[in-house]
Parts: sequence; structure tokens; C-alpha cells
Amino acid sequence: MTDQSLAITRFSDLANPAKFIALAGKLIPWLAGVTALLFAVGLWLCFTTESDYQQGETVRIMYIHVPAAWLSMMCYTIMAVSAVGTLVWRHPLADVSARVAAPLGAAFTFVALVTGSLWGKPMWGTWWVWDARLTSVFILFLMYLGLIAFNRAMDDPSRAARVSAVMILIGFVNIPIIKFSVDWFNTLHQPASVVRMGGPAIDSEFLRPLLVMAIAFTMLFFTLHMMAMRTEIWRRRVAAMRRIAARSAAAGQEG
Amino acid sequence: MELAHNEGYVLASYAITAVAMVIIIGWVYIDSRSRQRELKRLDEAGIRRRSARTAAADQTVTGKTSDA
Repeated sequence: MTDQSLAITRFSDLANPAKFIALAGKLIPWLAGVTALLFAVGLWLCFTTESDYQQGETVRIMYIHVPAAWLSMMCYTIMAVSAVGTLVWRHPLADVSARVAAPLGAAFTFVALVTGSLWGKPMWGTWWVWDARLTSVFILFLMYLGLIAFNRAMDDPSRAARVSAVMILIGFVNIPIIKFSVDWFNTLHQPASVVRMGGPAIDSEFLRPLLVMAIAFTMLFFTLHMMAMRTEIWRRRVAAMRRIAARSAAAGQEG
Repeated sequence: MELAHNEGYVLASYAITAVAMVIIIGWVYIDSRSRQRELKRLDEAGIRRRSARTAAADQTVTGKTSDA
């Protein structure tokens, strides 16, 4: 077997929920450990680096606001890739991935909105403005809540999967709008200063804690996502076993 | 005075983020433990999924063949 076909076989093995659960069991403790370590280093950097000459102490809000905002978009992008997996390849874990990512995405978007508001008040003089960036992120938050509500309302997860996947893909149009809203529209929000043409525009003093916190938040997301996917597989197993138990009980009564 | 005022925004941001993260981590962890317990209870009650029953039967057949 060639290296390439071996890699494909290993990847397709993950389509098997039992193999995914075994892999998750091995990876989750390591992911959690690395996440905790990164947060310890990141938080230490957050409070030991210099404050900004213009923003003062409020620059420290950036170290949680920006990673949370990145995660809010990355999470939806992962949901969109999973939605393609559901619709095109009917991958058994794609729907599980999209379904469990929504509450995580909602949490990160909530953090981005609240910390943004708390940063905006001392810097802009207002808690909130209905400009393109803030409004599009608020819409993303509502989309997450809508998808959670839809998935909760549907009893059969497999029936909900395809409708949910279509809704996710339609909503994905909001992601480039969020990213480029600061370039396309006249907004109060500042333009991109890290991921931009010509490299980061912020000083390395601020960039270091920001990047460590961004990696810590990303690792936290992957740890929680993997845990939640494993739980969702177990939830579906419990539902299947309950159906079997109910059928056996009904057959016993008839007999 | 101004500095102390702004530090309040920083502390509030970190506190709210910490609470949100604790809630989401706690929810994922508790949900995971609950489902695990539920599966164990059903398993102890002798309820098996079709695929689990097939796997168990295969194991029995393989075991018998090797015994013979």
C-alpha cells in the first residue's frame, strides 16, 4: 500500500464513529493539557506586557476580544466545511461536527461582542454602534442561535442534518462580509491589523500575547469540539438503544 | 482616576470571558459524563445496539472456531 493510499485509508477510518471515539479518547487529555498550558502562558503575558501609550490598560482587552472574534468566524467556517461533508460526501461525522460546533461558536461570538462593547465604551465613547462590522457579527450570533434552536426542535438528527447544512451554507455569505466590512464600509471599528497584506501592523510587545492567546483559544475550541462530537455520538447511541428497548418491551407485551 | 476607571473595563472583560468559558466547558463536560453514564446503565440492563450484537456474535463465532 502506498503512503498516499494509507493516509486516505486512515482518514476514511475516521468516518467510523467507533474509531473516532477511540481516537478522541486518546487525544482529548493531550489537547486539554496543551490548552491549559497555553492559557497559563497567555494570561501571564496578557498582564505582564506593557500597556499602550494611547489606549492604556484597555489594550489588554484585545488579547481576548480578537481571538474570540477569530474563533467565531473559524467555527462557522468549520461548520460550513462540515455542511459540505454532509451534502456531498454524506460523511457520518460531518453532521455531528456541524451540530456540536454551533453552541461553541455562539459562546465565542458572545465573548467577542461583549468584550468589544467593553472596549468600545472607553475608546469610542459608546457601548455599541450599528456599523457594518458590529452588525454583521451580531447577525452571526443570531445565526448560531437559530441553528441551535433548529437542531433542538428536530427530533430526528439525520432528518435535520441536510436542512441544517443548507442553512449553514447560505449563512456562510456573512463570513467574508464580517472580514471585509471594515474595508468595504465606513465603520467605527478599526481595519485589520494582524492578518493583512504587508504583515501585522501592531508592535511585537502586543503581538506576542495576542498570538499565544489566539492559539490557546483555538486549542480550547478543538478540545471542546472533539469532546462534544464524542458526546453527540454517544447521545445517538443512547437514542438507538432506547428505541430497541421500547420495541422489545412492546413485543413482550404483545406476546 | 481615569486609569482605575479603564481597569474596570479590562477586569469586566476578563471576568465575563472566564464565566462564559467555564459555562461552556462545564456544559460539554457534564453532558459527556451524563451520556457515558446513560450508555453504561443501558448496557448493564442488557440492551445492545444491532451493530454491537453483531460484533459480539462475530467474536463468539471466531472464538468457537479457534477453540475447535
